[in-house]
Amino acid sequence: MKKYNFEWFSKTLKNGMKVLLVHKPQFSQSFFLLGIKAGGMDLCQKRGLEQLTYPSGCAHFLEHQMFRLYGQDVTDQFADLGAMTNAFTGLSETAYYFSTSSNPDKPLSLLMDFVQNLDIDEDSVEKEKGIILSEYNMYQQSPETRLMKLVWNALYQTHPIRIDVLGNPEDIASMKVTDLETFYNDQYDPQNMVLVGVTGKEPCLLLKEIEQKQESYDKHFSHLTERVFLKEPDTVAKEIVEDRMDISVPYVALAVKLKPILDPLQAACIDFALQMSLDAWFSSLNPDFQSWMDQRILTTSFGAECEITSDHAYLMFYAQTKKTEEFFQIVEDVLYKMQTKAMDDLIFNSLKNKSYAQSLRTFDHFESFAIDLFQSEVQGVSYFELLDTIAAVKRDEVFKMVSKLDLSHQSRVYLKNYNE
Amino acid sequence: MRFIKTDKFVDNSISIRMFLPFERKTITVTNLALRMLKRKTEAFPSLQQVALALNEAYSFRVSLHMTGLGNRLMIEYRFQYLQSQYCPTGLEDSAVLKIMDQFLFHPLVDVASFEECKAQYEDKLLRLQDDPDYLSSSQCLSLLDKGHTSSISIQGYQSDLETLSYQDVQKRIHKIMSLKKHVYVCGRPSQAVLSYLQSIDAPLEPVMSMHPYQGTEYRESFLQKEIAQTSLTMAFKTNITIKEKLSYPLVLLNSVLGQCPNNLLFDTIREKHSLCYAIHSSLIRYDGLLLVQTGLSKANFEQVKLLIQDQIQRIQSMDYSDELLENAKKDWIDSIRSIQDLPFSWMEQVFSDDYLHQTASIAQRISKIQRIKKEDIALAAHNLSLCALALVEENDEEV
Repeated sequence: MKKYNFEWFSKTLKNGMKVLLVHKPQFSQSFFLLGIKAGGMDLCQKRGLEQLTYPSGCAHFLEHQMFRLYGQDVTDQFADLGAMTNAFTGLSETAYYFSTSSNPDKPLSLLMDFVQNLDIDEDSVEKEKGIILSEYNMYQQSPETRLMKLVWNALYQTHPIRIDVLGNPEDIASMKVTDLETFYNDQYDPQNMVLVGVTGKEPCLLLKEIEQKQESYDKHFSHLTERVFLKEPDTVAKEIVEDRMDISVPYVALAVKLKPILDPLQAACIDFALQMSLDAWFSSLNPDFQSWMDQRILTTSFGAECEITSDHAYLMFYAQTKKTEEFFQIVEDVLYKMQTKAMDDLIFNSLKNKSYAQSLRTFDHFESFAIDLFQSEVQGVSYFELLDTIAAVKRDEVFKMVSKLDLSHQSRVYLKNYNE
Repeated sequence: MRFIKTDKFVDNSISIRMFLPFERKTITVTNLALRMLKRKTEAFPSLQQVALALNEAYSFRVSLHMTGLGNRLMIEYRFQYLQSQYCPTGLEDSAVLKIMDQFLFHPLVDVASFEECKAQYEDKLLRLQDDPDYLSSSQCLSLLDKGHTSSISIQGYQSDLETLSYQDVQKRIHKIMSLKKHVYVCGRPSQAVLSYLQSIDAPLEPVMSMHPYQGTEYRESFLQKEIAQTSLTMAFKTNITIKEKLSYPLVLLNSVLGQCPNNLLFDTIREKHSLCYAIHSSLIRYDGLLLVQTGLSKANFEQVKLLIQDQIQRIQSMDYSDELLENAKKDWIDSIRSIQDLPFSWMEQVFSDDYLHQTASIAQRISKIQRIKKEDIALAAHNLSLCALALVEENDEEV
């Protein structure tokens, strides 16, 4: 059996930057991403005894500001080289990337230069406020985004996941150049960066060019910063939360606060096992699913997801439905079954096949593949080691991992329309 | 049948296309019919059995899509499955053929499926109305002359759904299943699969004529919702369709206006004036329409509307940098070169060439793009006229 249709290389450079290159022969495009292991939840950190705090939305605001180098807009420069560029900010990461079907050498050099040099001023910061507030409003009218925010505020009392990655409007409006400069100097250290490339081009030459370029970028500090989290109790912040929006059918969610798992590989395995259980019990693989549809408890908008990391962990079921209490009843039943009954062998094997195929398909989608590789590094897990571990997992192991979880800390969230 | 033989992807991908007239009276029943066609089959009569069969076959993907191409509706089945060499336990031809054959020729059509799909479809239509951006674009298009297909909502209509019967949908399903099928394949499927696909393929007839929007009246619509941000859609008729001489300049016009990096709308309305986060333009090429869409604050509506029209005037008077035009060309060329890195994009390009009877090679297309001048784009821009505007605005009243 053929394993992968690519080769990959990994190296940590002298300045601490991690480089991951994937060679996909026969493809004309290239996708490169330079990521920083810092994002929206980095509001409070320390370096040794020094305490560092940042206003909410700092990581995201900085991301908006970064597209300048020596007074020039780099978007134009990328376009001139036949490359498209963009960026995103998540909870624990920020990424800048480009894609091109032309020679990636020059855009790659530009990517490293503009991310590793800061060029902002009062005028550019002032101008960006209106744009980011407009972005904030755009997300505010998405019911799915609102629901997610309500869930995090229901579950967490002190964890920064409660704070919007974009920040709150007051912090956005009062952001200063010095706030952004401080965040940049503390976080944009090569030791805190990962460069990922997925390309049809021969990678050895690219690696040489990257190494040469990185010789001009030294580490800022001997030690990186560490995130500081206030003590988060096991219990939820609020058991019931309600909000209203101009929507035709209400949204509901049942969220479970879980214990974070310190070991990254173990966290990733439990994440996988839990997601697999959700796929088995809260989908059409469950024969009860048809009756949920027949009773109109579930319609076309529903789902379940989980996230297990070293600093936060949760499980969440959601749906757009008028039958809210019936929905909660279904979820309680699913949670009970997940912990008391191992899934059928047939279902387990079919889900393993599905998971395997989904991983393989990612390899042909350069952007998704690069982002997955980067996010694995952010979580402290080797992507390929994780794939091998997951491939070897057995049905009983999945059941054991899920049955041991404490699912007792729950919140219910209602997003209703104004007339209810 | 068109077969793109390649080893570069992990999947074999198949696109099977069929055509129907695009009509107001049948759009809703067609939507409902498609929902039923992809739900269950005779050999997989429950949702659980469908899920198990697809998962066991290494996440075999089946989907059904509908697109408006001028006065025709294109219905497309998409199948995608891992090449056997990548499957730890192999993937038998018999499993692949069974799944495809079931969905193409043996859907499960019964009253229970009808009731279920109708309820889900109704939910979807309701949900779409909650989205201010969808609402503003659908409202805008609905303002266009009723005699033209661009005014028909491809999602269908709530009002039609109330009177649709099971027999109506049954008839529509039989109609769809009897349509000629045009097959496109990308990958390395086995000879057995290729023979099967060849046996169901029919030659595609290229489109002979286009019917661009010709309406002369301008119409507006203003709706209010309890939302955080106003959504604006403006529709311009272009009088230019894909087969015309100005079609390439029109694509570049759209790129310069609201698609390529640092386009005029982005640069002026977002970057210079900070009046929005997202703004873009797009073409409905078969209908000869250009849309501009953005989210903004209600208080800035008149200013944004003027600025949008200013950017079109700038293109008409060639008042933008040569650099911007060159970047728009590079952006387009880059996307042409990347098409063969995604199987469905690749097949889409092959279909487009067949349907529009276009024979230019990639090199010829690139050369044609590079020769386009600002004057050509200005000529295309002089064809633009605003025909509809829809605003879904924040409600001023306290709730």
